[in-house]
This record gives sequence, C-alpha cells and structure tokens, in this order.
Amino acid sequence: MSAAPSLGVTVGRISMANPVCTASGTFGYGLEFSPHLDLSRLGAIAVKGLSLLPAPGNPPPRIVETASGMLNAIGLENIGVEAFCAKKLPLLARFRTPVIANIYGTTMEEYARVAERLDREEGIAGIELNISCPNVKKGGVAFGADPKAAARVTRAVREKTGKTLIVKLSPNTARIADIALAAEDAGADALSAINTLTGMAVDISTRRPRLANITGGLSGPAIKPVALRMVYETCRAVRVPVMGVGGISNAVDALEFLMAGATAVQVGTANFVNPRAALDIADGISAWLAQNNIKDVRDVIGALET
Amino acid sequence: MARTEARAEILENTETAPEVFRLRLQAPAIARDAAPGQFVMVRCSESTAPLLRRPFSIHDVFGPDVFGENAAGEGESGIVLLYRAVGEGTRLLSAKRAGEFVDVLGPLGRGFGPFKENSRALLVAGGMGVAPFVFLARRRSAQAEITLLLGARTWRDALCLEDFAGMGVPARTATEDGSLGAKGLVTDLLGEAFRTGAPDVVCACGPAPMLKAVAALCLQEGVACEVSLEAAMACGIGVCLGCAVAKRPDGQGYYHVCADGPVMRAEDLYASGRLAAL
Ligand SMILES: Cc1cc2nc3c(=O)[nH]c(=O)nc-3n(C[C@H](O)[C@H](O)[C@H](O)COP(=O)(O)O)c2cc1C
Ligand code: FES
Repeated sequence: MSAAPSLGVTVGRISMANPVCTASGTFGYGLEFSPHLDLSRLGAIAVKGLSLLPAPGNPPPRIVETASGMLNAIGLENIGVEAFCAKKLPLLARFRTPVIANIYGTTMEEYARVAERLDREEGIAGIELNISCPNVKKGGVAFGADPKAAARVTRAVREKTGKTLIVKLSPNTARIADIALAAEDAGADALSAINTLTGMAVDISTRRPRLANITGGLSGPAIKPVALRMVYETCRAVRVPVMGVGGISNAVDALEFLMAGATAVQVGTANFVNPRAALDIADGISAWLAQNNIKDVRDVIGALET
Repeated sequence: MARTEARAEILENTETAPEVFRLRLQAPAIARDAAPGQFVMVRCSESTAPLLRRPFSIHDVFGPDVFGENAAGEGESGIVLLYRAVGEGTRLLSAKRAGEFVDVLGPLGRGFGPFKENSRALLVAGGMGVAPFVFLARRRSAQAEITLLLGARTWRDALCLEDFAGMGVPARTATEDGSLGAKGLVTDLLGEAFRTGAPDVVCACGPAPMLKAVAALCLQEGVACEVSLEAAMACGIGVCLGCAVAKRPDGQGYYHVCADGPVMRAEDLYASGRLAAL
C-alpha cells in the first residue's frame, strides 16, 4: 500500500495539517466539541466572532430551519475579546491546531482595536475579518458591500497586526470579485467566502416574521451552489489563497470547493448536525485522494477543467 | 459532564395515544449519565430534510446499567422519549421501526435541581410537558413526597397517569373540557394546592403561558420554582447561540436554553412580586 496522501496546505502564514477549518459561529470557542473529536486533528479552528466589548446579541427567536438550511440572526453575541484571551485561548493552546480569531466592529476603530489586542496573543495564528455579517445594524455589511469601505477596514486592521489576515466576504453583493480585489490590494493575506445570504421566513398563521430581527442569514446545504460559484469567481480574481465556505457537509462538497480553486474549506452548519463533521470531511478527503492515487491534496486545488 | 453521540437501536416506537409515540432507544452511556430534566438531540432524517436535530426531553431510563448492576452494559439499557408527531421531523421519526437506528446526542443541558430530604414537591405539567416528570419521579420519589398536577385539553391528552400510579405518586388532573378530573386549568389545581399547604418546591413543564402563570404564583407565595423551557435549537450544546431567552426583565442579556437550561429557576426568568401577576 502506498503512503497516505499529503493533506497539508498553507493559508497566509498558517500551516494547516489538512484543508478543513471550522467556520466561525458554528464551533463556539472550540472546546465545546472536544467530547466528539480530537481538536488536534483539525486543519484550523475559527472561533465565534469577537468584538471589543461583550455583546448580548439579538432578541429571540434567533433561528429558524428552512429547506435544507437555516436562518440565523444571532446578532454576534460574544464574550468580548478580553474574556476570550483570558479564559478561552489558554485552553486552546493544549491543541496544536492553529486558531483563527474572527472579529467584527461597528466602526473602523473598533475593528482595529480588536485586532491590536489579538496581535499580542501567541496562541492566535490568524485574524478573520468579518465585514459581512448581515445581522448587525451598523458596520458589518456596509464594509462588505462597498470595495472602498472594505479596503479601508482591511488597511486599518493590517496596520495593527502582523498575523495572517483573512478577509471574510459577503455574498450579499453583486460585486464579490471587486471586493475581493480591494481587500487583497489593502493587504489581506487570504480571503474566506462566503458568509450567510440574507433571507427571511414568515409564519402565515400569525402573519409575523419567524425571526425577531425579521431577516437573518441563510446557511447550510441550501447555499452550497451559490457559495461555490462565488468562491470560483473570487479565486479567479485574486492571487491570495481563498477558504471556501457555505453548505459544506461532506468530503465531496469540500472537494468541489477545492477544485473550484479554494486552498482550504470551512465547515459551518454541518457541525450542528454532526459534531464530528469537520474531521469526517478531512478523513473523507484523504480517502478519496488515496482511492484516486492522488498523492497531494494540492494537486486538486484549482484543478477544475472548463 | 459526559455527553455522547451514539447510533442507537430502536427497541420500540409505538403510538400510545393519538399521534403520541413512545420511543425506547438502546443507549447505555446516555442512560447512565442522564439526570432528570436533561434532553437529547435526535437526528430524524439521514437527508437534509429536515436538516437539524430535534430536541426531546428524557422521559425515562431503563436497564440494569442505570441501576449500577451491570457495568459492562450488556442487555437492554437506554432511554425513553415521548413525543407528539406534529412536524416534519417527528413524523419521520414516528415512521421508524424497531431494529432501525437513530443518531442521538446527549444527555444535554441542566436538569432539575436536587430536592431536600423529606421535602414536598409538586410537579406541574401541561400536555406533553409531563414527559420529563416520569424520569424525575422515578429518581426522586423515595426521597421526597411528590404529587403530580396534570393539565390537558381532554382526557385523551392526559398522558402517563399509569406510570405515576405505578410509582405510587398521587396525581390530580384538570382538563379544559372536564372530561377527566377537574374542569379548568392546571394552575387552578396549583392555587388549590397552595391553599392546603405550600410545597417546598414546584417543578413545571408545559406551554410558555402555563409556565409563566405557575412561576407568578410561586414567586408570589415565595415557593421555590423551576421551569423547563423549550426553544428552537440548532446545536443543543451551547455553540450556535440560537436558543436565547431573555433574563428577567430587570436583568441584561440572554440565557441559552440548551446550556443554562432547559430547567431554569423562575426568579431568573420572570419579574417577581405583583408585577408578574399582571
Ligand atoms: C449560527 C451561526 C452563527 C454564525 N456566526 C458567525 C460569526 O460570528 N462570524 C462570521 O464571520 N460568520 C458567522 N457565521 C457564518 C458561518 O461562519 C458561515 O460563513 C456560513 O454559515 C456559511 O457556511 P455553512 O453553510 O457551512 O454554515 C455564522 C453562521 C451560523 C449558522
Ligand atoms: S441550541 Fe445552539 S446554543 Fe443552544
């Protein structure tokens, strides 16, 4: 039997043992999943979006299931960057898995200050800039829908950190390639795409929206074809590595994103259905490569034939 | 807190009342670690329709493993769920037969607090809300004097009475149409019980308006009260933050039903005193 295929990939300066990372907001602060999988075996862990101060989030109901997906309007509830560094990060240090801190702010200064704080932490491998969350009134989506604003916030954070900087793109725009280019020009080391698609559900018996926030972000298998197309367009527009996100539930889904050009993938909603999903996907990619006599996962990245 | 994800064999999945099913699952580890009031998340479909797991409170546990007689976990040992087949997920679940397998994650959340030795406990249930009380009574009936107050729409919806009779736990029933027990609401029974001597603790499970009314009565009378909440859930393990419920009105922020609950103290959720009764 031949040796196991090589699964390692590099995103910015982050060396991942395999191309599978968990997606922000679907994996808590990481430790919650340790009863179900060995966190050391993941390619990387992206934690829940952090803000400068703790944030309470939106009123309930915050989630509703839809056809092959779900809508959420969590409103970026989190414990704040300080509590994360003090209480969660030290526990993640036991695992050799790179930790990516997802961050957001309502102003450019807030983004910069969160990045500055995280830059001091040895346990942080990368910073993922959420310029795309549809569930906060200010900030978030405004930065994500306008190339100039995206460039400005990327630059502001770039000035504060030497860590690998990943800009997470919003699908809620017709110009994803322009925004990707703007972020790359402003100093992003990598991009991730996509965040959730803005959506809505109505309870016809009460004539009310099913979410207190009225609209929310759609995730899960329902969005995979859209995510794949956007990742493909993004990869064609930029040189930096792209992490593909959106509806990935199994190894075949992940391989589709890799072939479309993604250097790595992030697994989100699937973690809720199968708490071992990220690891099952990494193992599935390895098995598929072995079956097809492919020695290195990098040989399938961007291997799409058109 | 031990938590397992297991492919559990279905030992029984039978309709015990119209649209109400009793699901017995072979799940020794979950049964061993479960406490009354905790819940499990069940995958009702292998496909993406529906996508998310469904939460069910643990209705009962069974098997030698649970009682410490068989550490090897041989023989039948597991948990029982009681559910109404109302939605897409539960209807798919109700079609599964003995011998098939379902994926179960649990035990999850925080259950009912301990009872003081020789205390008097009232369990107040509305409809399907009776489900976790069979497990609670089974564990606690030796150590506390337990009475069940059960509210239902009609006699058909008054479930589990024979289980409580079997454990020697007295039950009083109220139905909205008067077809069984008193005609009225379970809160009428609670008011009556308070007049004849307050219990040490009230545990409530049922529809949200019922929980609020029970909590208001208890807060007014100064009786300790725990309520078991329901919420839409995606993960069940405290990571999606979807299952938020507001802290009592003078507090700030949210609890998460799957992690801080599902059983919560009334004073953490509802304003106390006269305000609550309004
Ligand atoms: C409940 C929930 C919370 C999320 N929170 C965040 C967040 O804090 N920051 C962020 O950048 N993305 C967040 N996301 C978006 C995911 O990281 C991911 O981009 C999106 O869900 C699409 O991937 P999926 O279909 O695999 O879930 C969240 C998604 C969900 C479902
Ligand atoms: S259901 Fe996900 S946090 Fe409670």
